[in-house]
Amino acid sequence: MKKRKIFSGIVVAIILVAAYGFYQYNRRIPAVTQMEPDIKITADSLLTAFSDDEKKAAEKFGEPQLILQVSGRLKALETTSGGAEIFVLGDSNASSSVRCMIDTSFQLDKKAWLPGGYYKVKGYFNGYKPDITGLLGADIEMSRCIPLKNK
Amino acid sequence: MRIQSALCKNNVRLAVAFLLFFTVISAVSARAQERFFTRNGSIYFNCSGKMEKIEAINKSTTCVLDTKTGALQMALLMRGFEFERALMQEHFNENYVESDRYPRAVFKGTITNLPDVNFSSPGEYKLAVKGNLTIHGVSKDINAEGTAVVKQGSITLKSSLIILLNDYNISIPSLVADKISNTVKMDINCFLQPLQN
Repeated sequence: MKKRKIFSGIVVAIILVAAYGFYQYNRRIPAVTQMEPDIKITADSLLTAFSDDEKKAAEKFGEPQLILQVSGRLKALETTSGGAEIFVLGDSNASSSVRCMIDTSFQLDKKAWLPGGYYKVKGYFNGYKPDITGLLGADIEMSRCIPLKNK
Repeated sequence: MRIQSALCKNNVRLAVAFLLFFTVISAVSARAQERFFTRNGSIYFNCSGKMEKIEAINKSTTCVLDTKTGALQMALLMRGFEFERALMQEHFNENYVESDRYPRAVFKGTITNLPDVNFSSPGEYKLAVKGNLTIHGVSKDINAEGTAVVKQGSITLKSSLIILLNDYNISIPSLVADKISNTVKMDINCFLQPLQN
């Protein structure tokens, strides 16, 4: 009887470990729609933090899968050759921007988001790309973003 | 008579001024057309082993091409690679490329067969590129071949290359050696547009 209980316990443990392994293996990157941002910041402050002291800013924003909510003026709404939509936030007179690739699950109505408008975007922070060519300006990149309207 | 002469002189000055203005504008415009860029280039990589499919794509690659000198620069953020499975993406960033320590990959090179490529005439041209690729804090000289499709106002660069992970100090634990290949195939696709400065 005791042996049977031990055997059953081992079988249950194996099933639980296998189920957990299966779940972990097939887990997808979660959409940010229902998730709370880790940090709320303006596009200008985010760009300034990295241009002033990249090392310090990288420590602050270095956590893996960090979700940011960035607010700023919409400079442009770009569509890549592959069909991805990009919200470009920042000062229209500056070459540097916060570039937010929109989550493919989000249906973006381009007429509802006007360049010059002040919006918020929530998404995963990918990092800071300095201007290696001296031609394009430095950029902050975010992915799987969802644009939010100010209430 | 004097008034007529003065008017004539003014017309000549005006014509010279217009000529100078258009010459300068044309020169600036021609200079602007020498450089092409994108911030949304895509790089797909595949390092599937015998047991598992491992592939990812980065759609935010910056690429700048100077058609006059043949200089080509590319940069991307390692965290910009998107995998189908979250676990793979986490392992890629935390255990293999250590994207918190080495957040970027950079390529700086030149087109070595520039005389064979006419960037001002539409067509498809073969490219030979030589340069330096930095990944995981390690820089290596590489050679690559590709194509440039030149159209009116745009250039599409395409290339496929193979790199070895251990060349860049990225080691694969023996436990997963049959799942991850040391050979990485990369497909590059950049749609470049004129850079207006």
